[in-house]
Amino acid sequence: MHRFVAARLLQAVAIVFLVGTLTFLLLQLAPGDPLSSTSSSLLVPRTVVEQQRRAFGLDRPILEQYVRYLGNLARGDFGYSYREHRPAWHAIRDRLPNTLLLAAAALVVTFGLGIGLGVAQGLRAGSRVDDVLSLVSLTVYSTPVFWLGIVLLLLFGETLRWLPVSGATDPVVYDQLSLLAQAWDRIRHLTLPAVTLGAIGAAATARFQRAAMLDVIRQDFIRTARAKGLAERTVVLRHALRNALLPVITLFGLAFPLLLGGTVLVETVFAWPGMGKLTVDAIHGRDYFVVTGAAVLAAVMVVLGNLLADILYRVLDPRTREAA
Amino acid sequence: MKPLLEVRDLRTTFAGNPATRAVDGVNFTLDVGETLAIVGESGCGKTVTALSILGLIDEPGRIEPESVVEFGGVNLLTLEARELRRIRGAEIAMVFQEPATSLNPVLTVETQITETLRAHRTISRTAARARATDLLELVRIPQAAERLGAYPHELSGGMQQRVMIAIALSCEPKVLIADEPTTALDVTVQAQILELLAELQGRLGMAMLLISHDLGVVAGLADRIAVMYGGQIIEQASAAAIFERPMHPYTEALLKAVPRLDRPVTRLSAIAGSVPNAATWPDGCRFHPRCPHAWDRCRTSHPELTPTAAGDVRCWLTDEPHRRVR
Repeated sequence: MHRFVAARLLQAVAIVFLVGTLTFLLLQLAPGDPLSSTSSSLLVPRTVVEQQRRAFGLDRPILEQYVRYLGNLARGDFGYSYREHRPAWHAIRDRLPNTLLLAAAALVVTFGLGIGLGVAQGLRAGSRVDDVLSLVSLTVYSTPVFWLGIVLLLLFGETLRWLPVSGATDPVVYDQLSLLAQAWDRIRHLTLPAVTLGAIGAAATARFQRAAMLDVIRQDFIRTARAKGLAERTVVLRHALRNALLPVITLFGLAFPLLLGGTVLVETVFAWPGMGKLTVDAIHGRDYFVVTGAAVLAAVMVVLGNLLADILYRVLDPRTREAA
Repeated sequence: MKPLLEVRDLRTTFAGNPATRAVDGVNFTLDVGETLAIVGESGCGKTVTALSILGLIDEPGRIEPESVVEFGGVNLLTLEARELRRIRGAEIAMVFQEPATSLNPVLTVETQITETLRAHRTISRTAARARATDLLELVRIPQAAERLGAYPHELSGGMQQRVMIAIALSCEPKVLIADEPTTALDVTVQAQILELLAELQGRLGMAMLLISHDLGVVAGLADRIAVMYGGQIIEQASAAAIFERPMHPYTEALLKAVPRLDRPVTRLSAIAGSVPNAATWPDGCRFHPRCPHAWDRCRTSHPELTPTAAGDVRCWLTDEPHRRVR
């Protein structure tokens, strides 16, 4: 197991390096540079713009810029944010926890809800409940995430007024709240974005889990478990689910890229101060190092997510562990 | 004396168009400590019979309401699920054909043995563990204590089947149903498993229902043999009688298909044709299309299982003018 993890971490470094390089190259291919908007302004003298270009090293050959960027990255220096006039890492650092929180909550929705529904459906396959849930999950699965977000926002935020619709906390009273009330405020703000971001994944997971459950429940060892006189609960949870989770773990690894893509849209709809929104703004503003930093961090998260899925697989399925 | 287990008019059908009558009116009894073998080709209904006893028939299968499986004075087929679970694995245990797929791949041997114990007995985790070790020793798995932590894929087929037997024996059942327990195993391993079953049966005083397609397998173990064909028992007699003087042409044909070491070498004979589809049993005797002795009556009229001096047989050849059965 340790060797496996070590090998995968080494791979991860290579992947992150590649993503960093690709992002850098793509940005170089795009027209303009961080000072484009400044230089097109008639109010700023050309000499000042040129001076700035020199100061940031933007006048150097691309290869030199690239080597310097990699060197900085290796030391954990993400570069400078031209838009926010502070290190790119500081801009990212302020948003990262919000995105991690949102992604984690969405994962809970995706897999908690998805696995629960899938198991319930698998056990009642062909029933009316199963049919209705299948239709619902197919509908949700086919829904664009931003549209789902807007509908939920209108329904629960505007019409019913149950939940706040923007931001991660209440901008007015949050600082005066007690710790407990602050947590509650955060949960209320988190609910709609997390459900929006997690719902589509939950629908996919439910369909996967249902099929896996149906497949497992027909296996010989389920008959053995029943012949042993075990309670149906034990048969389902210990014997069927443990096996039916295996295909869904693969989905867990795949969920991370989709999730990070989804945060961009969800954070925009719910004005969630996270990485997704930061990245989009940075791309529009040619804020190179915020973009590359965000891409590298996203790569790290995806790679770690996949590693986690592989480890989970090994924990749950003894057949995939290396021979001792 | 009342038999330990009595199956009366067992009918198990699988929904479809037309419905499949996999088991179509099966009757037999099993006494304390006795071994009854049910023998027949694939598709004759022997496995479905075994599964029906413990109510292990899944949708779209259905055990018809007139069926009775009497054990300890109650009809198992009318028991509440909770009551039936108390019998399953504790009073009547089962060993299946494919040990590789019948064991859960993601649980350790220990878990799979102790969960049966803990489902039926009030027993601590440590005591269950100790008992599991004893059981593995009982089924002669070397280094029993170390094998507790093993997963099924780390064991050979023979070892897996021994684990299955250990699980089945964990609560000292009164009846062991062994459904083709050696079919998936190598020939040498088969012999070991059969020996083990015979020995354990004697030691624990269990009754055994041994299901097999192979008369050779049941020869050394069975006290009585019931031969099934087309979802019904077509002959039932003591093992000695079946081997010495088979009454039904089908039993005779089955015997001729078993290689024997105690007879001069001759060509093994196969039974022409194949088992008919359970959805469309032939009219008359279900074996008549394949029977070399069939006459008019066999084609039109369905024979009942009729007692004779040597045993029960379902065959029109017992009647004049084609009297063959002694």
